Amino acid sequence: MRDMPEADLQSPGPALPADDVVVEALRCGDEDMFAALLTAWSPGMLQVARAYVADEHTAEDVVQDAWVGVLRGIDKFEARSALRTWVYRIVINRAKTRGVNDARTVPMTSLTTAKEDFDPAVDPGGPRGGSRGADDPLAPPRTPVAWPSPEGEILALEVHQHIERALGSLPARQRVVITLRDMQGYSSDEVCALLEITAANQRVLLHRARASLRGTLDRYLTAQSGKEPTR
Amino acid sequence: MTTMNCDEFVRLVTAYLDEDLEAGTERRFTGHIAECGGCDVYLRQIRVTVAELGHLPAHGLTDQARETLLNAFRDWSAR
Repeated sequence: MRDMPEADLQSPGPALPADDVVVEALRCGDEDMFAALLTAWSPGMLQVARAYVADEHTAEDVVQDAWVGVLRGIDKFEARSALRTWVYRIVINRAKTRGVNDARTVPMTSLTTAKEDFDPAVDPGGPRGGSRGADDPLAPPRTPVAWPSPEGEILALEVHQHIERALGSLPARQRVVITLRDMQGYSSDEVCALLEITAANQRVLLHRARASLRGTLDRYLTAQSGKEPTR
Repeated sequence: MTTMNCDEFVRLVTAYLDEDLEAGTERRFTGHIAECGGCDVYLRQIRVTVAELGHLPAHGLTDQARETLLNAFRDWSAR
């Protein structure tokens, strides 16, 4: 894994010059540098924004707004964190605000901390020991059936579509964590620093999100292989 | 060494993948994989899920949004 002593976001994505070079170039009006930043960071920023808002269009609005915020703030940027961390904080804050204001599309409860974020995270769709779970209607005993390998372009495309749909049904807190961890490759320390959550909370959110997506893929791929999905 | 049941295994999967289990717990965890086919499959499926998430296509800004921002940059740098 990456060696990352500080909780700063540096590694994923295309290589850019060091932060001080980038910041100085922006302050001097270097449009090529700004264009390079837009190319390098906007895809990740769109994914993160999408965790909080209802659709791609709104996510793009948020990211545009965040970049304008970056320009307004860059003169005052003091390099206390990596530039990318600072930019991501801006987009997350704006996306959260937009998500709350858009409460008719994203319930506010999905943006705030919930009790289940701290609950022991057993996967109701996961494997069960023979003696456990039999009397729990939410978690019938089951043994996972091996998936067919998702090879072939059509199957891969369908798998992606199922994952994206399932991402859409996750609470924002889970979606942003799994986006940063599994889609963008940030470490748990980085995610905790960025979202200002504890390591335990981060893990529960990631755990629940992964379990949920595994369940979605399981229903799809088990049906693909011609076997009846258990649930 | 106490054995691990499937519930405990599932609860610890994420910590295991983050290489954050204590040595004794990790031994019990890997010991459970060896004796429980269902949990072995479950762990593989979680790994596949994580890998597939890493392969999702990422999209950039639309040309229009990009153009708007480059214009905003020009205005801002001419301030």
